[in-house]
Amino acid sequence: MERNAEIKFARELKRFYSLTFMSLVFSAIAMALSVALGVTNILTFINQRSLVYLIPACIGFLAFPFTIRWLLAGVEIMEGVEEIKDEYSKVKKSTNGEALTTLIVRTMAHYRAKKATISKLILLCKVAAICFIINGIFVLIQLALNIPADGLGLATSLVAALINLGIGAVGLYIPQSFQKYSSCWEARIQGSTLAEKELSSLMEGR
Amino acid sequence: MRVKRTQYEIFWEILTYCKTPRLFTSIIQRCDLNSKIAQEYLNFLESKGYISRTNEGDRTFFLTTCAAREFLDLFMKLYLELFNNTPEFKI
Repeated sequence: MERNAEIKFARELKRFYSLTFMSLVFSAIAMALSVALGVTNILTFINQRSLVYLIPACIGFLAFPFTIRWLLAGVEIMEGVEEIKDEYSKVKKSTNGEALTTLIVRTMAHYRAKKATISKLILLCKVAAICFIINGIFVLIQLALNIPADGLGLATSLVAALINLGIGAVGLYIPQSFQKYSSCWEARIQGSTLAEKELSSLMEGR
Repeated sequence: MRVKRTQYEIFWEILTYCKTPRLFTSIIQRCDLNSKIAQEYLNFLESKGYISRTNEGDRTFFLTTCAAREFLDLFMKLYLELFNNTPEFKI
């Protein structure tokens, strides 16, 4: 049982670390992209006075605060995960039931402490993703209405649309995975309430 | 990291840490507790016979007793079962 639990714990820890890392990377990219989108389009709007540039500028500026908070939430979650990862790497070679139970307790405590942050990240990530998807669709509509004569212009617009849609898709995928993580640990927390009753009756018997 | 644990999880941390004699300051540091709460937990565990105090000069050491084995075994069994019996997190 201990060996199976250890393998499962190691796999889950690795996956959650990768997910948090992926969230951090994409939130940073999304933040940079939202600034670029807002600034370049607002400058073009000022020069050309065309509403076509105002919409993506607004989307960029709207997405920016969400991407910052998404990044910060990721950093906050990562802090605890790294501590658990370090602890696990210290006992990895000689993991026994006791060390593993302590790690499970720590991870459960981390989840309880970061539950609100994870929920916040899920929401922020979705809002930012929707902004990028809207902008991606907007670029594609613009492209369909006014196809650039030169190949370079067409390629640039297509790449811009794909980047926006890509970030949007990842932004929708990340919250889904965090939701899966939450449901796993919620089930364990519920189970721990039952465990507490058994522990309580053991202690009361003394 | 700010940790949120149940009282039984704190008991587990204290009892596993005190398997070798520990000073009060080491316990509060390792188990991430403030001194008032730690004192309350240690008094409770002592009243249950799970922990004993020994004085060496002017220093007091806390040590987990054999009586705590029952609690520790049950805790470990329950938590490992709980972890094994719940679905695995997959991306």
